Amino acid sequence: MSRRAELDFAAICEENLDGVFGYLLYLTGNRTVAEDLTAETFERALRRLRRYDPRRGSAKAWLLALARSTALDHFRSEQRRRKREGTFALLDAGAVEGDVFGHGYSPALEAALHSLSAGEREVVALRVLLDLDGETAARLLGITPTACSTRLHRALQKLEEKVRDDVRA
Amino acid sequence: MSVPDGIDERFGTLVGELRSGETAASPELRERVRAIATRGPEPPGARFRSRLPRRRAALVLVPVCALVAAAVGVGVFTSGGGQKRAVELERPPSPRAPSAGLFAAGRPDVPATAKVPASLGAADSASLPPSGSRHQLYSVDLHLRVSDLSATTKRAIQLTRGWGGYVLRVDSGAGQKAGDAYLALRVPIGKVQTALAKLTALGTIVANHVSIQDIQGQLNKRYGQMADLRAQIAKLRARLTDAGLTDSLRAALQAAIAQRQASLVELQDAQTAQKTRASFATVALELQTKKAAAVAPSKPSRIGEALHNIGRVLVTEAEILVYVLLIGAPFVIFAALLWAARRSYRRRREEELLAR
Repeated sequence: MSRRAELDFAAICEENLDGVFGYLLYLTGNRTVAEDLTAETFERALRRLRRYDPRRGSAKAWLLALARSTALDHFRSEQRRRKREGTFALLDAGAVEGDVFGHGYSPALEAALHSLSAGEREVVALRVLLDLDGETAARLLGITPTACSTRLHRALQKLEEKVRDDVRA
Repeated sequence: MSVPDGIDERFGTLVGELRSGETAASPELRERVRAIATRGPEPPGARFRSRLPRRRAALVLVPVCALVAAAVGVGVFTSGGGQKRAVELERPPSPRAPSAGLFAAGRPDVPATAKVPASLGAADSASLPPSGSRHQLYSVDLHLRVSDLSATTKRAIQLTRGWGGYVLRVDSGAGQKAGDAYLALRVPIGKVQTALAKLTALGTIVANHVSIQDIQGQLNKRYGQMADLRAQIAKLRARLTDAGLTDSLRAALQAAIAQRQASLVELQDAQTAQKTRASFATVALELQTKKAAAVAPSKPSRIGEALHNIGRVLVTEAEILVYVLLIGAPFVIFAALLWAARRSYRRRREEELLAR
Protein backbone atom coordinates (compact mmCIF):
# COMPACT_ATOMS: atom_id res chain seq x y z
CA MET A 1 0.00 0.00 0.00
CA SER A 2 1.33 3.41 -0.89
CA ARG A 3 2.11 5.88 1.83
CA ARG A 4 -0.59 8.22 0.59
CA ALA A 5 -3.29 5.54 0.55
CA GLU A 6 -2.14 4.37 3.94
CA LEU A 7 -2.47 7.86 5.34
CA ASP A 8 -5.86 8.34 3.74
CA PHE A 9 -7.16 5.08 5.10
CA ALA A 10 -5.77 5.83 8.55
CA ALA A 11 -7.51 9.21 8.49
CA ILE A 12 -10.79 7.61 7.43
CA CYS A 13 -10.50 5.07 10.25
CA GLU A 14 -9.76 7.75 12.82
CA GLU A 15 -12.60 9.93 11.62
CA ASN A 16 -15.25 7.21 11.53
CA LEU A 17 -14.23 4.88 14.33
CA ASP A 18 -16.62 6.31 16.95
CA GLY A 19 -19.50 6.35 14.48
CA VAL A 20 -18.98 2.78 13.36
CA PHE A 21 -18.53 1.60 16.92
CA GLY A 22 -21.65 3.47 18.12
CA TYR A 23 -23.69 2.01 15.31
CA LEU A 24 -22.53 -1.53 16.05
CA LEU A 25 -23.08 -0.99 19.74
CA TYR A 26 -26.68 -0.04 19.11
CA LEU A 27 -27.12 -2.87 16.67
CA THR A 28 -25.73 -5.61 18.89
CA GLY A 29 -26.45 -4.20 22.34
CA ASN A 30 -23.18 -5.65 23.51
CA ARG A 31 -20.02 -3.63 23.98
CA THR A 32 -17.59 -6.53 23.57
CA VAL A 33 -19.28 -7.84 20.46
CA ALA A 34 -19.47 -4.29 19.06
CA GLU A 35 -15.73 -3.83 19.59
CA ASP A 36 -14.92 -7.09 17.83
CA LEU A 37 -17.24 -6.29 14.97
CA THR A 38 -15.76 -2.78 14.67
CA ALA A 39 -12.28 -4.21 14.28
CA GLU A 40 -13.59 -6.73 11.76
CA THR A 41 -15.34 -3.97 9.84
CA PHE A 42 -12.09 -2.05 9.44
CA GLU A 43 -10.31 -5.24 8.44
CA ARG A 44 -12.89 -5.72 5.69
CA ALA A 45 -12.61 -2.08 4.73
CA LEU A 46 -8.88 -2.46 4.26
CA ARG A 47 -9.36 -5.56 2.13
CA ARG A 48 -12.01 -3.91 -0.01
CA LEU A 49 -10.43 -0.48 -0.17
CA ARG A 50 -9.97 -0.73 -3.95
CA ARG A 51 -13.70 -1.17 -4.40
CA TYR A 52 -14.54 2.04 -2.61
CA ASP A 53 -15.73 4.80 -4.95
CA PRO A 54 -16.15 8.25 -3.35
CA ARG A 55 -18.55 9.20 -6.15
CA ARG A 56 -21.03 6.62 -4.93
CA GLY A 57 -21.18 7.81 -1.34
CA SER A 58 -19.21 9.07 1.63
CA ALA A 59 -16.59 6.98 3.41
CA LYS A 60 -18.83 7.00 6.45
CA ALA A 61 -21.75 5.44 4.53
CA TRP A 62 -19.41 2.87 2.99
CA LEU A 63 -17.99 1.89 6.36
CA LEU A 64 -21.46 1.69 7.90
CA ALA A 65 -22.61 -0.58 5.07
CA LEU A 66 -19.61 -2.81 5.75
CA ALA A 67 -20.37 -2.70 9.49
CA ARG A 68 -23.96 -3.72 8.81
CA SER A 69 -22.92 -6.64 6.67
CA THR A 70 -20.36 -7.71 9.30
CA ALA A 71 -23.00 -7.52 12.02
CA LEU A 72 -25.51 -9.49 9.94
CA ASP A 73 -22.90 -12.19 9.34
CA HIS A 74 -22.30 -12.26 13.07
CA PHE A 75 -26.03 -12.55 13.81
CA ARG A 76 -26.35 -15.37 11.31
CA SER A 77 -23.46 -17.31 12.78
CA GLU A 78 -24.82 -16.68 16.29
CA GLN A 79 -28.19 -17.96 15.20
CA ARG A 80 -26.63 -21.10 13.75
CA ARG A 81 -24.57 -21.58 16.90
CA ARG A 82 -27.61 -21.11 19.12
CA LYS A 83 -29.57 -23.60 17.08
CA ARG A 84 -26.70 -26.05 17.32
CA GLU A 85 -26.04 -25.61 21.01
CA GLY A 86 -29.56 -24.74 22.12
CA THR A 87 -28.24 -21.84 24.14
CA PHE A 88 -28.91 -18.14 24.00
CA ALA A 89 -25.50 -16.76 24.56
CA LEU A 90 -26.10 -13.54 22.71
CA LEU A 91 -29.35 -12.81 24.49
CA ASP A 92 -27.72 -13.53 27.83
CA ALA A 93 -24.79 -11.38 26.94
CA GLY A 94 -27.13 -8.59 25.87
CA ALA A 95 -28.79 -8.61 29.27
CA VAL A 96 -25.66 -7.28 30.99
CA GLU A 97 -26.38 -4.62 33.54
CA GLY A 98 -24.74 -1.20 33.42
CA ASP A 99 -23.77 1.33 30.71
CA VAL A 100 -23.97 -0.64 27.52
CA PHE A 101 -25.18 1.81 24.90
CA GLY A 102 -23.53 4.92 26.20
CA HIS A 103 -21.97 6.39 29.28
CA GLY A 104 -24.29 8.95 30.77
CA TYR A 105 -27.57 7.34 29.76
CA SER A 106 -30.23 7.04 32.43
CA PRO A 107 -30.98 3.48 33.54
CA ALA A 108 -34.48 3.91 32.14
CA LEU A 109 -33.10 4.82 28.69
CA GLU A 110 -30.63 1.93 28.84
CA ALA A 111 -33.41 -0.49 29.65
CA ALA A 112 -35.65 1.01 26.99
CA LEU A 113 -32.90 0.67 24.39
CA HIS A 114 -32.47 -2.96 25.42
CA SER A 115 -36.15 -3.58 24.90
CA LEU A 116 -35.97 -2.42 21.28
CA SER A 117 -35.18 -4.84 18.51
CA ALA A 118 -31.81 -4.65 16.74
CA GLY A 119 -33.51 -3.22 13.69
CA GLU A 120 -35.16 -0.46 15.71
CA ARG A 121 -31.94 0.41 17.50
CA GLU A 122 -30.17 0.42 14.16
CA VAL A 123 -32.35 3.13 12.66
CA VAL A 124 -32.06 5.21 15.84
CA ALA A 125 -28.28 4.89 15.68
CA LEU A 126 -28.10 5.93 12.04
CA ARG A 127 -30.50 8.85 12.16
CA VAL A 128 -30.01 10.17 15.70
CA LEU A 129 -26.61 9.11 16.87
CA LEU A 130 -24.74 9.38 13.57
CA ASP A 131 -27.01 12.09 12.18
CA LEU A 132 -27.22 10.51 8.71
CA ASP A 133 -29.79 12.04 6.40
CA GLY A 134 -32.91 10.02 5.64
CA GLU A 135 -31.86 9.06 2.13
CA THR A 136 -28.41 7.75 3.08
CA ALA A 137 -29.81 5.82 6.03
CA ALA A 138 -32.54 4.34 3.85
CA ARG A 139 -30.02 3.27 1.18
CA LEU A 140 -27.91 1.63 3.87
CA LEU A 141 -30.89 -0.26 5.25
CA GLY A 142 -32.08 -1.22 1.79
CA ILE A 143 -35.48 0.40 2.25
CA THR A 144 -37.22 3.54 0.97
CA PRO A 145 -36.71 6.90 2.75
CA THR A 146 -40.40 6.85 3.76
CA ALA A 147 -40.07 3.37 5.28
CA CYS A 148 -36.92 4.54 7.07
CA SER A 149 -38.73 7.57 8.47
CA THR A 150 -41.66 5.42 9.63
CA ARG A 151 -39.34 2.91 11.24
CA LEU A 152 -37.51 5.68 13.10
CA HIS A 153 -40.74 7.26 14.28
CA ARG A 154 -42.01 3.95 15.64
CA ALA A 155 -38.69 3.19 17.32
CA LEU A 156 -38.55 6.58 19.03
CA GLN A 157 -42.18 6.33 20.10
CA LYS A 158 -41.58 2.90 21.57
CA LEU A 159 -38.45 4.14 23.26
CA GLU A 160 -40.24 7.11 24.76
CA GLU A 161 -43.11 4.97 26.02
CA LYS A 162 -40.70 2.51 27.62
CA VAL A 163 -38.75 5.30 29.30
CA ARG A 164 -41.98 6.89 30.55
CA ASP A 165 -43.29 3.56 31.84
CA ASP A 166 -40.01 2.84 33.54
CA VAL A 167 -39.91 6.24 35.22
CA ARG A 168 -43.50 5.80 36.40
CA ALA A 169 -42.72 2.35 37.72
CA MET B 1 -29.96 20.21 20.99
CA SER B 2 -31.54 20.34 17.55
CA VAL B 3 -33.71 17.60 16.13
CA PRO B 4 -32.42 16.16 12.80
CA ASP B 5 -34.53 16.77 9.72
CA GLY B 6 -37.42 14.40 9.30
CA ILE B 7 -37.66 13.57 13.03
CA ASP B 8 -40.74 14.60 14.93
CA GLU B 9 -40.08 17.61 17.19
CA ARG B 10 -41.88 15.99 20.12
CA PHE B 11 -39.00 13.51 20.40
CA GLY B 12 -36.63 16.42 20.97
CA THR B 13 -35.85 15.56 24.61
CA LEU B 14 -35.32 11.89 23.82
CA VAL B 15 -33.08 12.69 20.87
CA GLY B 16 -31.09 15.07 23.06
CA GLU B 17 -30.62 12.42 25.70
CA LEU B 18 -29.59 9.80 23.14
CA ARG B 19 -27.03 12.14 21.68
CA SER B 20 -25.65 13.12 25.06
CA GLY B 21 -24.51 9.57 25.75
CA GLU B 22 -20.86 8.75 25.27
CA THR B 23 -20.52 6.03 22.61
CA ALA B 24 -16.88 6.61 21.83
CA ALA B 25 -14.62 3.65 21.13
CA SER B 26 -12.35 2.55 23.93
CA PRO B 27 -8.60 3.33 23.67
CA GLU B 28 -7.92 -0.39 23.20
CA LEU B 29 -10.25 -0.55 20.21
CA ARG B 30 -8.72 2.62 18.80
CA GLU B 31 -5.29 1.01 18.99
CA ARG B 32 -6.58 -2.14 17.30
CA VAL B 33 -8.05 -0.16 14.43
CA ARG B 34 -4.91 1.95 14.09
CA ALA B 35 -2.90 -1.21 13.82
CA ILE B 36 -5.21 -2.45 11.06
CA ALA B 37 -4.92 0.85 9.20
CA THR B 38 -1.14 0.83 9.24
CA ARG B 39 -0.59 -2.71 8.02
CA GLY B 40 -1.65 -3.12 4.50
CA PRO B 41 -2.10 -6.30 2.50
CA GLU B 42 -3.12 -4.17 -0.45
CA PRO B 43 -0.88 -4.24 -3.51
CA PRO B 44 0.99 -1.05 -4.39
CA GLY B 45 -1.02 1.63 -6.12
CA ALA B 46 -4.28 0.83 -4.38
CA ARG B 47 -6.17 4.08 -3.95
CA PHE B 48 -9.67 5.13 -3.14
CA ARG B 49 -10.88 4.53 -6.59
CA SER B 50 -13.01 1.81 -7.98
CA ARG B 51 -12.02 -0.11 -11.03
CA LEU B 52 -15.60 -1.13 -11.52
CA PRO B 53 -16.54 1.59 -14.03
CA ARG B 54 -13.40 0.77 -16.01
CA ARG B 55 -14.29 -2.92 -15.87
CA ARG B 56 -17.81 -2.18 -16.99
CA ALA B 57 -16.51 -0.16 -19.90
CA ALA B 58 -14.09 -2.96 -20.77
CA LEU B 59 -16.96 -5.44 -20.67
CA VAL B 60 -18.62 -3.58 -23.53
CA LEU B 61 -15.60 -2.19 -25.36
CA VAL B 62 -13.52 -5.37 -25.58
CA PRO B 63 -16.16 -7.48 -27.40
CA VAL B 64 -17.08 -4.54 -29.66
CA CYS B 65 -13.40 -3.96 -30.55
CA ALA B 66 -12.94 -7.69 -31.15
CA LEU B 67 -15.93 -7.81 -33.50
CA VAL B 68 -14.80 -4.72 -35.41
CA ALA B 69 -11.23 -6.06 -35.60
CA ALA B 70 -12.52 -9.36 -36.94
CA ALA B 71 -14.60 -7.54 -39.54
CA VAL B 72 -11.65 -5.37 -40.58
CA GLY B 73 -9.35 -8.40 -40.70
CA VAL B 74 -11.72 -10.42 -42.85
CA GLY B 75 -12.49 -7.39 -45.02
CA VAL B 76 -8.85 -6.55 -45.69
CA PHE B 77 -7.65 -10.12 -46.19
CA THR B 78 -10.45 -10.95 -48.60
CA SER B 79 -10.13 -7.75 -50.61
CA GLY B 80 -7.04 -8.81 -52.55
CA GLY B 81 -8.94 -10.46 -55.38
CA GLY B 82 -10.45 -7.33 -56.94
CA GLN B 83 -8.85 -7.93 -60.32
CA LYS B 84 -9.71 -11.60 -60.30
CA ARG B 85 -13.33 -10.90 -59.48
CA ALA B 86 -13.68 -8.45 -62.31
CA VAL B 87 -12.35 -11.04 -64.71
CA GLU B 88 -14.76 -13.64 -63.40
CA LEU B 89 -17.66 -11.27 -63.83
CA GLU B 90 -16.75 -10.67 -67.42
CA ARG B 91 -17.14 -14.31 -68.24
CA PRO B 92 -20.58 -15.39 -69.42
CA PRO B 93 -22.57 -16.77 -66.49
CA SER B 94 -23.11 -20.48 -66.38
CA PRO B 95 -26.61 -21.84 -66.91
CA ARG B 96 -28.77 -21.59 -63.81
CA ALA B 97 -29.28 -24.40 -61.40
CA PRO B 98 -33.08 -24.57 -61.90
CA SER B 99 -32.63 -25.70 -65.47
CA ALA B 100 -30.46 -28.58 -64.43
CA GLY B 101 -32.90 -29.59 -61.71
CA LEU B 102 -35.83 -29.29 -64.03
CA PHE B 103 -34.38 -31.47 -66.72
CA ALA B 104 -32.83 -33.97 -64.38
CA ALA B 105 -36.20 -34.81 -62.85
CA GLY B 106 -37.71 -37.95 -64.16
CA ARG B 107 -34.69 -38.88 -66.25
CA PRO B 108 -33.20 -42.06 -64.96
CA ASP B 109 -31.12 -42.57 -68.05
CA VAL B 110 -28.10 -40.48 -68.81
CA PRO B 111 -29.21 -38.08 -71.50
CA ALA B 112 -27.35 -37.25 -74.63
CA THR B 113 -26.30 -33.65 -74.12
CA ALA B 114 -24.59 -31.08 -76.27
CA LYS B 115 -23.29 -27.67 -75.33
CA VAL B 116 -23.57 -25.37 -78.29
CA PRO B 117 -21.01 -22.54 -78.24
CA ALA B 118 -22.42 -19.07 -77.69
CA SER B 119 -20.96 -17.92 -80.94
CA LEU B 120 -23.22 -20.27 -82.85
CA GLY B 121 -26.65 -19.03 -83.82
CA ALA B 122 -30.15 -20.45 -84.07
CA ALA B 123 -29.29 -22.43 -87.14
CA ASP B 124 -26.58 -24.28 -85.21
CA SER B 125 -29.04 -25.11 -82.45
CA ALA B 126 -31.21 -26.68 -85.08
CA SER B 127 -28.36 -29.07 -85.91
CA LEU B 128 -29.66 -31.21 -83.05
CA PRO B 129 -33.26 -31.71 -84.17
CA PRO B 130 -35.61 -34.08 -82.37
CA SER B 131 -36.09 -37.43 -84.04
CA GLY B 132 -39.22 -37.66 -86.09
CA SER B 133 -39.61 -41.44 -85.66
CA ARG B 134 -38.56 -42.01 -82.04
CA HIS B 135 -39.85 -40.65 -78.75
CA GLN B 136 -37.34 -38.42 -77.01
CA LEU B 137 -37.20 -36.11 -74.00
CA TYR B 138 -35.89 -32.94 -75.55
CA SER B 139 -34.73 -29.99 -73.44
CA VAL B 140 -32.84 -26.82 -74.17
CA ASP B 141 -31.13 -24.30 -71.85
CA LEU B 142 -30.96 -20.97 -73.61
CA HIS B 143 -29.23 -17.94 -72.08
CA LEU B 144 -29.89 -14.72 -73.94
CA ARG B 145 -28.81 -11.13 -73.47
CA VAL B 146 -31.72 -8.82 -74.32
CA SER B 147 -32.36 -5.10 -74.38
CA ASP B 148 -35.85 -4.98 -72.84
CA LEU B 149 -36.45 -7.67 -70.28
CA SER B 150 -40.17 -7.15 -69.80
CA ALA B 151 -41.02 -7.00 -73.51
CA THR B 152 -38.88 -10.04 -74.30
CA THR B 153 -40.44 -12.05 -71.50
CA LYS B 154 -43.93 -11.20 -72.75
CA ARG B 155 -42.96 -12.00 -76.33
CA ALA B 156 -41.49 -15.39 -75.35
CA ILE B 157 -44.68 -16.33 -73.51
CA GLN B 158 -46.81 -15.13 -76.42
CA LEU B 159 -44.79 -17.16 -78.91
CA THR B 160 -44.96 -20.29 -76.78
CA ARG B 161 -48.74 -20.08 -76.52
CA GLY B 162 -48.92 -19.45 -80.28
CA TRP B 163 -47.15 -22.78 -80.95
CA GLY B 164 -49.63 -24.58 -78.75
CA GLY B 165 -47.22 -24.80 -75.83
CA TYR B 166 -47.49 -23.50 -72.30
CA VAL B 167 -45.44 -21.79 -69.62
CA LEU B 168 -44.21 -24.06 -66.85
CA ARG B 169 -42.58 -21.36 -64.74
CA VAL B 170 -41.78 -17.66 -64.91
CA ASP B 171 -39.37 -15.93 -62.57
CA SER B 172 -39.26 -12.26 -63.47
CA GLY B 173 -39.87 -8.89 -61.81
CA ALA B 174 -43.12 -7.33 -63.04
CA GLY B 175 -42.52 -4.56 -65.59
CA GLN B 176 -38.75 -4.49 -65.08
CA LYS B 177 -36.84 -3.39 -68.14
CA ALA B 178 -33.46 -4.32 -66.73
CA GLY B 179 -32.28 -7.28 -64.69
CA ASP B 180 -32.78 -10.96 -65.36
CA ALA B 181 -35.63 -13.38 -65.81
CA TYR B 182 -36.07 -17.12 -66.00
CA LEU B 183 -38.75 -18.92 -68.00
CA ALA B 184 -39.45 -22.63 -68.29
CA LEU B 185 -41.46 -23.23 -71.46
CA ARG B 186 -43.06 -26.38 -72.85
CA VAL B 187 -43.17 -26.38 -76.65
CA PRO B 188 -44.73 -29.11 -78.85
CA ILE B 189 -41.90 -31.31 -80.11
CA GLY B 190 -42.87 -30.68 -83.71
CA LYS B 191 -42.44 -26.96 -83.24
CA VAL B 192 -39.20 -27.01 -81.29
CA GLN B 193 -36.98 -26.06 -84.21
CA THR B 194 -39.15 -23.09 -85.04
CA ALA B 195 -39.32 -22.18 -81.37
CA LEU B 196 -35.54 -22.20 -80.96
CA ALA B 197 -35.09 -20.10 -84.07
CA LYS B 198 -37.65 -17.54 -82.89
CA LEU B 199 -36.52 -17.48 -79.27
CA THR B 200 -32.85 -17.07 -80.09
CA ALA B 201 -33.82 -14.16 -82.31
CA LEU B 202 -35.14 -12.32 -79.26
CA GLY B 203 -31.60 -11.47 -78.11
CA THR B 204 -27.96 -12.38 -78.26
CA ILE B 205 -27.08 -15.94 -77.29
CA VAL B 206 -24.81 -16.10 -74.28
CA ALA B 207 -25.03 -19.85 -73.76
CA ASN B 208 -27.00 -22.69 -75.29
CA HIS B 209 -27.32 -26.25 -74.07
CA VAL B 210 -29.38 -28.99 -75.69
CA SER B 211 -30.22 -32.25 -73.94
CA ILE B 212 -31.86 -35.22 -75.68
CA GLN B 213 -32.86 -38.43 -73.96
CA ASP B 214 -34.22 -41.28 -76.03
CA ILE B 215 -37.11 -43.07 -74.29
CA GLN B 216 -38.23 -45.23 -77.19
CA GLY B 217 -36.60 -48.26 -75.57
CA GLN B 218 -38.59 -47.76 -72.37
CA LEU B 219 -41.81 -47.35 -74.36
CA ASN B 220 -41.15 -50.51 -76.40
CA LYS B 221 -40.43 -52.49 -73.26
CA ARG B 222 -43.68 -51.30 -71.76
CA TYR B 223 -45.54 -52.20 -75.00
CA GLY B 224 -44.18 -55.72 -74.63
CA GLN B 225 -45.32 -55.97 -71.01
CA MET B 226 -48.78 -54.74 -72.02
CA ALA B 227 -49.00 -57.34 -74.84
CA ASP B 228 -48.04 -60.09 -72.39
CA LEU B 229 -50.72 -59.01 -69.96
CA ARG B 230 -53.33 -58.90 -72.69
CA ALA B 231 -52.40 -62.43 -73.80
CA GLN B 232 -52.60 -63.70 -70.20
CA ILE B 233 -56.01 -62.08 -69.74
CA ALA B 234 -57.28 -63.70 -72.99
CA LYS B 235 -56.06 -67.12 -71.82
CA LEU B 236 -57.68 -66.74 -68.43
CA ARG B 237 -60.95 -65.65 -69.98
CA ALA B 238 -60.87 -68.69 -72.27
CA ARG B 239 -60.46 -70.94 -69.23
CA LEU B 240 -63.44 -69.27 -67.62
CA THR B 241 -65.72 -70.54 -70.44
CA ASP B 242 -65.12 -74.12 -69.25
CA ALA B 243 -68.43 -75.30 -67.73
CA GLY B 244 -66.77 -77.87 -65.51
CA LEU B 245 -64.97 -75.32 -63.31
CA THR B 246 -65.57 -75.40 -59.60
CA ASP B 247 -66.77 -72.21 -57.93
CA SER B 248 -63.52 -71.69 -56.09
CA LEU B 249 -61.42 -72.12 -59.23
CA ARG B 250 -63.71 -69.74 -61.12
CA ALA B 251 -63.31 -67.15 -58.36
CA ALA B 252 -59.52 -67.56 -58.46
CA LEU B 253 -59.46 -67.09 -62.22
CA GLN B 254 -61.63 -64.01 -62.00
CA ALA B 255 -59.31 -62.54 -59.33
CA ALA B 256 -56.27 -63.21 -61.53
CA ILE B 257 -57.96 -61.50 -64.48
CA ALA B 258 -58.81 -58.46 -62.33
CA GLN B 259 -55.24 -58.22 -61.08
CA ARG B 260 -53.79 -58.36 -64.59
CA GLN B 261 -56.29 -55.82 -65.84
CA ALA B 262 -55.28 -53.42 -63.07
CA SER B 263 -51.61 -53.87 -63.99
CA LEU B 264 -52.47 -53.30 -67.63
CA VAL B 265 -54.29 -50.04 -66.83
CA GLU B 266 -51.33 -48.91 -64.78
CA LEU B 267 -48.92 -49.60 -67.62
CA GLN B 268 -51.19 -47.87 -70.13
CA ASP B 269 -51.36 -44.74 -67.91
CA ALA B 270 -47.57 -44.67 -67.54
CA GLN B 271 -47.15 -45.12 -71.27
CA THR B 272 -49.56 -42.30 -72.06
CA ALA B 273 -47.89 -39.99 -69.50
CA GLN B 274 -44.43 -40.62 -70.90
CA LYS B 275 -45.57 -40.14 -74.48
CA THR B 276 -47.27 -36.90 -73.50
CA ARG B 277 -44.13 -35.78 -71.77
CA ALA B 278 -42.07 -36.59 -74.83
CA SER B 279 -44.51 -34.74 -77.07
CA PHE B 280 -43.31 -31.45 -75.60
CA ALA B 281 -39.78 -30.08 -75.46
CA THR B 282 -38.71 -28.08 -72.39
CA VAL B 283 -37.00 -24.80 -73.08
CA ALA B 284 -35.32 -23.15 -70.08
CA LEU B 285 -34.92 -19.57 -71.15
CA GLU B 286 -32.67 -17.28 -69.12
CA LEU B 287 -32.86 -13.63 -70.05
CA GLN B 288 -30.44 -10.94 -68.95
CA THR B 289 -30.31 -7.29 -69.93
CA LYS B 290 -27.19 -5.70 -71.37
CA LYS B 291 -27.05 -3.19 -68.54
CA ALA B 292 -26.92 -5.86 -65.85
CA ALA B 293 -24.20 -7.67 -67.77
CA ALA B 294 -22.29 -4.44 -68.26
CA VAL B 295 -22.25 -3.61 -64.55
CA ALA B 296 -20.21 -6.66 -63.70
CA PRO B 297 -16.86 -5.63 -65.18
CA SER B 298 -16.54 -2.49 -63.03
CA LYS B 299 -13.41 -3.00 -61.01
CA PRO B 300 -13.82 -1.94 -57.38
CA SER B 301 -10.73 -0.52 -55.74
CA ARG B 302 -9.06 -2.55 -53.04
CA ILE B 303 -10.14 -0.08 -50.35
CA GLY B 304 -13.68 -0.03 -51.66
CA GLU B 305 -13.82 -3.78 -51.67
CA ALA B 306 -12.31 -3.97 -48.20
CA LEU B 307 -14.94 -1.52 -46.91
CA HIS B 308 -17.65 -3.52 -48.60
CA ASN B 309 -16.37 -6.73 -46.99
CA ILE B 310 -16.08 -5.07 -43.59
CA GLY B 311 -19.67 -3.88 -43.88
CA ARG B 312 -20.79 -7.35 -44.89
CA VAL B 313 -18.99 -8.98 -41.95
CA LEU B 314 -20.36 -6.37 -39.53
CA VAL B 315 -23.90 -7.02 -40.76
CA THR B 316 -23.36 -10.75 -40.28
CA GLU B 317 -22.00 -10.14 -36.78
CA ALA B 318 -25.00 -7.95 -35.97
CA GLU B 319 -27.31 -10.69 -37.18
CA ILE B 320 -25.54 -13.24 -35.00
CA LEU B 321 -25.69 -10.85 -32.05
CA VAL B 322 -29.43 -10.31 -32.48
CA TYR B 323 -29.87 -14.05 -32.75
CA VAL B 324 -27.85 -14.65 -29.59
CA LEU B 325 -29.82 -11.94 -27.77
CA LEU B 326 -33.11 -13.45 -28.84
CA ILE B 327 -32.02 -16.89 -27.72
CA GLY B 328 -30.36 -15.62 -24.52
CA ALA B 329 -33.06 -13.18 -23.42
CA PRO B 330 -35.24 -15.78 -21.65
CA PHE B 331 -32.22 -17.06 -19.74
CA VAL B 332 -31.22 -13.53 -18.75
CA ILE B 333 -34.77 -12.79 -17.58
CA PHE B 334 -34.83 -16.04 -15.65
CA ALA B 335 -31.48 -15.22 -14.03
CA ALA B 336 -32.72 -11.73 -13.14
CA LEU B 337 -35.84 -13.18 -11.56
CA LEU B 338 -33.75 -15.66 -9.60
CA TRP B 339 -31.48 -12.86 -8.47
CA ALA B 340 -34.46 -10.70 -7.41
CA ALA B 341 -36.04 -13.61 -5.53
CA ARG B 342 -32.77 -14.38 -3.78
CA ARG B 343 -32.31 -10.75 -2.86
CA SER B 344 -35.85 -10.51 -1.53
CA TYR B 345 -35.38 -13.69 0.53
CA ARG B 346 -32.09 -12.44 1.90
CA ARG B 347 -33.62 -9.11 2.86
CA ARG B 348 -36.49 -10.85 4.64
CA ARG B 349 -34.03 -13.00 6.55
CA GLU B 350 -32.09 -9.90 7.55
CA GLU B 351 -35.28 -8.24 8.76
CA GLU B 352 -36.05 -11.33 10.82
CA LEU B 353 -32.56 -11.28 12.32
CA LEU B 354 -32.80 -7.62 13.22
CA ALA B 355 -36.32 -7.94 14.60
CA ARG B 356 -34.97 -9.85 17.60
